[in-house]
Amino acid sequence: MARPCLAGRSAAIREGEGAEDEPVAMDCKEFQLFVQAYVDGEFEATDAAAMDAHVEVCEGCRAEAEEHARFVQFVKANYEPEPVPEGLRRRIVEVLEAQDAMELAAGRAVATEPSAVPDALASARAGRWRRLEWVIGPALATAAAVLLVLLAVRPFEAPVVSPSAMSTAAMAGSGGGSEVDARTPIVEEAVTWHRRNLPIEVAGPSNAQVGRWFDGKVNFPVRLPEFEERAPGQVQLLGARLSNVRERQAAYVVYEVDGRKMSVMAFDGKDIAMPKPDQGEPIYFENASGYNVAVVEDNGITYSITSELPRKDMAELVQAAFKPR
Amino acid sequence: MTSTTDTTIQDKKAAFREEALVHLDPLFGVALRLTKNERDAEDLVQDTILKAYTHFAKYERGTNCKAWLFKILTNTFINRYRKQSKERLYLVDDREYRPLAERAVAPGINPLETPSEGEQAWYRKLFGDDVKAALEEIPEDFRMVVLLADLYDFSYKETADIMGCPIGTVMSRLYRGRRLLAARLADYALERGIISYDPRVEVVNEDGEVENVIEFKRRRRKRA
Repeated sequence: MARPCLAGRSAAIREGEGAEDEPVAMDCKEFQLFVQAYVDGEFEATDAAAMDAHVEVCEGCRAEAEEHARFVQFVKANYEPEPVPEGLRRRIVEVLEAQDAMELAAGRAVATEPSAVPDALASARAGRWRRLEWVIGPALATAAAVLLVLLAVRPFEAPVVSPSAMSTAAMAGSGGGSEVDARTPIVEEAVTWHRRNLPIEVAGPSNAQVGRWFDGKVNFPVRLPEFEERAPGQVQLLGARLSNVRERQAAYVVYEVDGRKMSVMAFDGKDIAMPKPDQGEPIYFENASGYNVAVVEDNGITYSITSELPRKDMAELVQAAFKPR
Repeated sequence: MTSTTDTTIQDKKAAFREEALVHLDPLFGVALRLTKNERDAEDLVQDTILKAYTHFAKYERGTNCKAWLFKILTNTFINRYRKQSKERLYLVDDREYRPLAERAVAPGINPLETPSEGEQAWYRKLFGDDVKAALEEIPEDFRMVVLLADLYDFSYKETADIMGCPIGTVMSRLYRGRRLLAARLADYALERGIISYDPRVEVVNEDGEVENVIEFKRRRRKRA
């Protein structure tokens, strides 16, 4: 862009030095084009020399250059950037720890011999993270590295599933049942999130700790369902992350039940139509793309629970966790 | 035999701390000006860092990590936050773009007419908020360029790389962005002699078009 032209001018200045017919080597018009870049120190010495020479002799352009510089200085001097909050700094360290743990789990999943991870840190975490392997992906054993990269590419955007893709998936999942996809959007989103194996942002197994992590991050109180009450040890809280349902903030929580993944999304269900349970059923259930999805409203918060568990097992779990209070 | 996976992770973490985590302050500063609120800014920075961490293998150690992080931040902001933002501004052409807000009312007159040296710090704090507010008022494309180039010391080239646009676009946006900013800070800047023309004043040029006084002056000088 500017450089060759300016360099050319530099040469012209040298040649024209002292020439009567060219008192101003670079004309104002040219100077004006580059005054901002000049002031911002974007020119190399040779190019800047031509500009320097011009401001030496042209008062108007000098004034303009000074005005540019003055204004930028003024804005800079009056801008006091806020430092990163300590809480965020801490949280970032936690998130990176969780990410490391996931990668460790992934590493173990591909390792063929158990002796591949005798490292102190790895074994210290093994108990806690052993179960995370499928959070990263069921296909991990075959293509862990590739999958990790794929997962990491766009980990934060809300899942986008085209209606046609969803219908196809529904047909495949339900064995090609109905023509009309009557699924509720909440259920669709629950399944989409469930299927994506996004990294968690806070690790379990403490219900209270995970619940507290959401304080100030979502605009509703996050009360995690008490699955453990009924069957201690059967349900493991693995971790949670922020998500969204219908453009609302949501808490996305991942559990492991009998070796299978179960996810819960909690969000403020105000003004979202709740699907009605079948007659005689206490809880709304829907089979979507092969997953069982329950939708429950409790104390103003809507929960969608998704898993591959048999419906009967899931119904028991959900009913126990959301028993009327 | 020790776990290569774990050693790799430890190395990566150490390098990441050294090269990336040292830039949290500027990342947060820019995030705050872009999202305009602390919560979204925190989320944006956290997302940026996690993305950077998961992609750290792709980053070439020892190159410009700060610019790389800001590129991730900018993309994340555009993809995630701008989509849901109510503030939708479609810029047709930088050169012709004349936002209504540019002609809007001037910022409130500062109560402190002539501060003494001793009052400077307080004054700056007070006025600093005006600079932030003015920045947040100008359209995102211009705001980003002004932030990166003027306040966070990125070169035109780095700014262009971060924003994924040509250097020429950076230059024109920077020019417009500064003008828009000047219009919002005009009272103070004029009074202090920082600028000599009121950027809010419009004149009718020779072709009968309404033109900003600075553009008018520039064109006149170019012709001279």
